Amino acid sequence: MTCREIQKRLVDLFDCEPPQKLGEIEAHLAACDRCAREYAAVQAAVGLIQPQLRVQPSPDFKERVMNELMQVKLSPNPWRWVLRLAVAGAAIVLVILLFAQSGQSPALNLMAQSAQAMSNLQSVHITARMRTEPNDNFELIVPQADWVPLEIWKQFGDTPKWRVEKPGRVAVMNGASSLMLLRPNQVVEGGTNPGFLDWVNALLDTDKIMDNELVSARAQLSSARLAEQNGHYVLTVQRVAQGDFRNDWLLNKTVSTSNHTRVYRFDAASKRLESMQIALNTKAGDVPVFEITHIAYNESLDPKLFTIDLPPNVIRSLPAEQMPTTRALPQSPKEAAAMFFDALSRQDADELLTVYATSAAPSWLKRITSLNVVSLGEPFQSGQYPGWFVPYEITMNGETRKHNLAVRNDNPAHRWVFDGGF
Amino acid sequence: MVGIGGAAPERGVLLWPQSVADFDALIETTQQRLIQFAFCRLRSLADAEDVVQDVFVQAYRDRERHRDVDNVVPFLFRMVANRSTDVLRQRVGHALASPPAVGCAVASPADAADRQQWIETLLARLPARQAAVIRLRIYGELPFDAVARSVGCSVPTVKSRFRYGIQKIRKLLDREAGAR
Repeated sequence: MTCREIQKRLVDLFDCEPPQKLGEIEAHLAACDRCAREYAAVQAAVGLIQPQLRVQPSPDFKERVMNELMQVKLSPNPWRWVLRLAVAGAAIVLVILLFAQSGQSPALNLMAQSAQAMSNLQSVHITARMRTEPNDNFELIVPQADWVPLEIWKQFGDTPKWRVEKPGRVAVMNGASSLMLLRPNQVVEGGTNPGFLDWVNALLDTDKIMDNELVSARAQLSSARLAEQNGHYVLTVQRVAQGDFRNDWLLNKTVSTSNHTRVYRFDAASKRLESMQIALNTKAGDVPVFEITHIAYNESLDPKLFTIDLPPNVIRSLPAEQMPTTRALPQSPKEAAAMFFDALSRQDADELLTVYATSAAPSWLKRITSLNVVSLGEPFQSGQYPGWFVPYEITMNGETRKHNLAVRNDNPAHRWVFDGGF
Repeated sequence: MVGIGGAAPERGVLLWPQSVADFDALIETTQQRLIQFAFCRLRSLADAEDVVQDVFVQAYRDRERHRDVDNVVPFLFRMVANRSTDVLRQRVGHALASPPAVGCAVASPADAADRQQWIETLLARLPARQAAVIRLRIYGELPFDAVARSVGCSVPTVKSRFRYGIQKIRKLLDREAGAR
């Protein structure tokens, strides 16, 4: 290698991780005074332009950036108070990262104070709205749907009672048992802690919301950030969809199977929840899907709230073990779906009730004038749903419909029953 | 003599983060280097932090668009470099410090700031592309392949710019020494 070539390659000695094959250059420098002087001159020049001061970020730098990111994450949206908080980041007097390992952290103090302040709650009345379908379950999120009103009442005390209502369904618990009316006339019965409320259960425990969220954060089901400003505590919780999403059918379709951000605001003096929002985190950005618009504490609640005046001729949901067995039962998700559609296409109520867990055929059966199955796909699972989804394409009353039918058999009788998606 | 060969290496390949949690980790690992890089040009910690904060926020806003970028760090340095240039353009009438004696020891942060200003004055006399490469390599402590990603050209081109830039600095220093 000539001196000219060596001097051209000297730059390699100034890389962070110089290439391995430098032996030839080093050998040349050891033997050639001219090139060695050139190397020393380059080294000296590089040394002169090295910064002599190494700065460190301010202690709160990262916190400030994260607050800014949260602001971006939550905008554009109607939560202007959150934006105001974030914009006034410099005024935030307390930002508490959770998981304090030692000592009495401000978060733990606040949690204790909150629990104490809420322990004397007599009742709560929450008015909220959610982007969902009026007639579907309480979990469903439909980001493109209009807001649907949701109202929650809870009577605290030795015998708690509650009522949860949206246009298409209402559920009550009277202290001993629960009942849900799927309007117009289908009812589901349950115990004091039924499964049909889904995520709304979290709001029913109004007195334990902060406690429960912080417990979830410690269990690493979420990340949480607590800040105080101007007489309010703001708890921001980042939730990641729970479950297996190799098939992502359920991803972002329900609260528990969605990536979302929850922002709670508590009054700093009373520690009471004042408002709460949920934004769905989608590829296209964050979409507000739920918000509490009003909360009233310790109202006198009418006892009638915890009862439902049932319409005549109600159809009751049946436990799988009480369903009739008039024919061979389906042995797989696909067989259950096939039986369901066959029953609909032939208007065969008996066959339908083999997989449809109610005391009588639903009223909508009569509205089906024609139904043909174009195809049934292979069943799949998604999220944490214990059942299966069967892809289908049908023509019904002259229109084509493609969707996934939900069927499940996680009941004591291990019987395959319809669970939604029609 | 400052041993540039032993400078902090590029710390692995980081995909462009897509969640707030991932950004949290990215900020943790890169904040010092990016602020140092910005500070070297701006000579104000507050301005440097503002620039880096803006860059992280922009990186978060644009995360979906950059989902396929296989190493976010060089891009962050490019964004910081561009934003620092914008800040410098907005500054008006800032005083230039007197150049320190070449080779003299730096005694205090104030001296270091003066020295940094002198370095920047020197780099400002280089072709912009050569100065950009030198800043990324020396201020940013990026290896040449990361510098190449940052400025969007090949590694040989980056090395060539670095070499010619250092040559030009030597000439400027010789001229300065001759003038004394």
